[in-house]
Amino acid sequence: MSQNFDRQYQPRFDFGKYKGIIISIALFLLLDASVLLFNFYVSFEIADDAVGVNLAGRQRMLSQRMAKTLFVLDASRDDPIGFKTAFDELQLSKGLFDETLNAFTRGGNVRGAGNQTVTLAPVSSQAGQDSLRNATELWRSYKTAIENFAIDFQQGADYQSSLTVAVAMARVHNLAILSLMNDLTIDLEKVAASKATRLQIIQTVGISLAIINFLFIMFHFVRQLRDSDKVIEKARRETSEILETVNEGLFLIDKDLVLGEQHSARLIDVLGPQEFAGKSFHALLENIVSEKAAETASDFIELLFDPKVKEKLIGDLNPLSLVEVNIAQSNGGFLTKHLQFSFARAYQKDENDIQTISHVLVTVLDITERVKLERALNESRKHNESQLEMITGLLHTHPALLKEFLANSFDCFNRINSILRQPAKTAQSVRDKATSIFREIHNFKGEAASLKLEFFECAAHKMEDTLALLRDKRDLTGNDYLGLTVQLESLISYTQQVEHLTEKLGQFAVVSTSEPRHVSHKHITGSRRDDGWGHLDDLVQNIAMRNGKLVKFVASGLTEIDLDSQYQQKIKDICIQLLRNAVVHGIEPPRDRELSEKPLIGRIDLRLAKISESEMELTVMDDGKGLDYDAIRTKAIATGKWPEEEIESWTNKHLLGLIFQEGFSTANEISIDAGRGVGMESVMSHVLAQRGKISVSSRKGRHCRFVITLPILYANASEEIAA
Amino acid sequence: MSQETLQVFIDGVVNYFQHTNDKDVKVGTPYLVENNNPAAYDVTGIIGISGPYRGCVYFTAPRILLKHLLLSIGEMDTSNEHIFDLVGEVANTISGNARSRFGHEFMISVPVMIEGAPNQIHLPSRMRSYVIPVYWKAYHAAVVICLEQ
Amino acid sequence: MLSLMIVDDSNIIRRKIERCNDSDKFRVVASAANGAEALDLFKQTRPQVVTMDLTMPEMDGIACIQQLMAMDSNLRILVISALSDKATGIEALKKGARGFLCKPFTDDQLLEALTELTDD
Repeated sequence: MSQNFDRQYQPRFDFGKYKGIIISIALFLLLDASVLLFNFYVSFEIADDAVGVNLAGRQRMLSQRMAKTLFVLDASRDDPIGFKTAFDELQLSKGLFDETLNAFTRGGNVRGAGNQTVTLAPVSSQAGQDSLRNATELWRSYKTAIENFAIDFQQGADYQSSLTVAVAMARVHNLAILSLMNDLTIDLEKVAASKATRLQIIQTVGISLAIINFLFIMFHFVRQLRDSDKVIEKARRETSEILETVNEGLFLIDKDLVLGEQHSARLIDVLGPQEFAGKSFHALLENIVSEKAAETASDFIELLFDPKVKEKLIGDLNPLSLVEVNIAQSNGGFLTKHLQFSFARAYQKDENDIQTISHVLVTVLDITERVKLERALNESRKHNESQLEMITGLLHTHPALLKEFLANSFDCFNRINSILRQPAKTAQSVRDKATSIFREIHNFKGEAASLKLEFFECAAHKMEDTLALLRDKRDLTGNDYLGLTVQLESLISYTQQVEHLTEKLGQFAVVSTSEPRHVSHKHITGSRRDDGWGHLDDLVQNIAMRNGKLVKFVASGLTEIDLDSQYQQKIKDICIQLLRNAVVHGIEPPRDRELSEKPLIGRIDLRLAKISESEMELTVMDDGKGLDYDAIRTKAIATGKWPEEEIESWTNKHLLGLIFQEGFSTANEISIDAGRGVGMESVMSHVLAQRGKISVSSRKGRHCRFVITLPILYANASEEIAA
Repeated sequence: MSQETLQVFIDGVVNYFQHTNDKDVKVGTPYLVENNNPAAYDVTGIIGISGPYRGCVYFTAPRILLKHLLLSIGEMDTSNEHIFDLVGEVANTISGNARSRFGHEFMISVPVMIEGAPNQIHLPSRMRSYVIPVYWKAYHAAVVICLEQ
Repeated sequence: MLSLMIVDDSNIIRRKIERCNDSDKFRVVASAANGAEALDLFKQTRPQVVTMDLTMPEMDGIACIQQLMAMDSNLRILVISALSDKATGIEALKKGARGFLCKPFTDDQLLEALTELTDD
């Protein structure tokens, strides 16, 4: 992948690809140079030829001048001065002519027009050589005659005859020599002209070749350009095709952590539409992950640009290997995605063929679905585990009882929520809510305890703790209830889970081991079965065990009256409170009982008896230490609500009334089973609500007995007892 | 959801009212509602939350309260537009407070204003919301928080 | 044969690394339990390769890497650490370490990492 990218980004220099064009250009230059060189050479030669033509022309002129001078000499024999001038001229002409003729024939130096020395090459053409040979032939006797005359004249001898000979020679040869010299000139001119023609031809050929070469280069080069353009275009098309189709977000970042020009189309789906090219990587992450994560990511990419760091050995440090991003949506919400960023080095070869890290290729994968699936699996596993825990907690409870408990629980939660919901603007009304809720949750706790549903019991206990704090808080506000509401919410959630689970378990319709002993009832959820009350024994034993006591629980008459189920629930609540009190406050620890010579195992009797068609009597009696009036008095003093002297003067009956008051308990410490001082108050409020009566009798060290008289509400009258 | 998280949103609203002339704002006892029956007054400003918790928080109030609130901050024009702006402002204060308390951990959207109760898009029906009543003068308004982990 | 120093405060990890590196490729020349000890042993034994834990008493891995690199900029350091904080790992590499191996690791993973670390 990285290879594709770097090729596309910068084509490498390839000598092979340009070999043809380099050779062509070299050939072009060579051709031009050789034409030029030849041009030079020929030009020099033509210049030389021109000198030859000039000198040949001068020979013509010299031959005429010699003849003319001879005739002048012949005519001025009586004029010594004119004679002398003419003689000198003859000498000069004769010397030049002879010298030039020799030079033409054999090659050699000769004085040129400006008296400078020029070197002549021997004439090579046949016609020229012929002319020269004939001229030399004629010249020999002509020259000898002139020389004889010159010798005679210079020696002062009689020169008349030798002059006459010379003049005669001139007359004879002059025309022939002129004609020969003329031939020479023409011949030389012809040679020069042919050379110029050759030069023109060569120049034309050279330039034509150069043009052809040029055209070839042009054609070749353009074709190569077009080919390489085609290759690039093809590569570009392939790249775009790849970028259009890959399923991942792809882009490159450079050393400055800036995004490259191209990116895959998918990137827009993954990160949302935006201008990617030229954006800094940090800016890209800015609004979708935390600032710290973005910085760590930038640091990580910098590591990738450090060639010393081993790419393979830092994969684990990738901070964006699984990252949750939140992409703002136009409707005000956020789209949460899980992305996987991976980073890979992209290399480029520099001019020395050394690979350097040029970019980091970033691949972004949207793995939201995968993560969701994993989470769902995890969640369901966790859910299963917690359900398993729940099941083990619930297994000991009879399904019908549990169902009833859950229904009651939701009722209770709803009542608590209604209390919270009630607008309360005065401090007192806010405070009163704590008391009302406490009553509800306390009953709930009692019921949970009776079924040994420890989780519910604990949760209720914690809520009682919260409520106790609220009750004691000064300047109580609605806001202070927040913690309680949170507890309520989580308790509701838990209860819903349990309900859900029991529904599922219900489908298996497992016949529990505690099969009802009497099956003659029409109400499946009805609690008039033996086991409907049987859990009270569990409750008693449970509380006894927690408090280090030994108790025998004897119940009777509970199933004999066909009570309305809701009403029965209330009776049960009362029983739970009274039984709890009997165990915690009544029955002594075994050691104390031993000391007072009582049976080690305490006894608690619960009896429900019909006393008339419309009334029944509920009796709870324990053989414990009896009511501790001193403890009640001490506690009353401790509350500080009444003057101490007044309390001292109170009768036992008056003190007894206190235990039914709100927030009064004689237990030393708050525990799940006692100490809130709400239980008895709740019993009282239930009894009063049903227009019943309570009587208490107690004998110190012997027993304590609560007798409650209540109206009977038969099963078919349930509608009348709403709420 | 932790009590502390909820408190941050409640504080946001209280903050807003404490910047008005009539600072006497009271928070009632929080209670729960099922989302299939959401609680709302006339006008509602919603902010979306994402991060460790996700869901939404909204401030909802009756028109009359908002009109009164507008007057109390010196705005005589109590047109619908202004009422929406005001709800938006309260929602903004909530989100501002949340941002400063949670830092970058949470992503909070710009407020969206609607009439009446938020719909299913904002409130997953299988969940419950916390309703925190807010009493200002003689009126009732509420902050409703629905967040899941 | 390359000389190797192990820096890790856990005995078990040190022994594990020692065990799988008594090969023909690496020779364990020193074994340090903290950064300070590592610097001392480094001066004595001059190893070419170091495996470095990050969280150690006295002197932590990052400070130790910085000092080791000051003494020998060609030293090849492999950070071996549990991944609680990626930012710390990245910082260690910025200080000069060249690779990172996540705890827990198998013998093969360690050998592979060391080979990659020293391969060039």
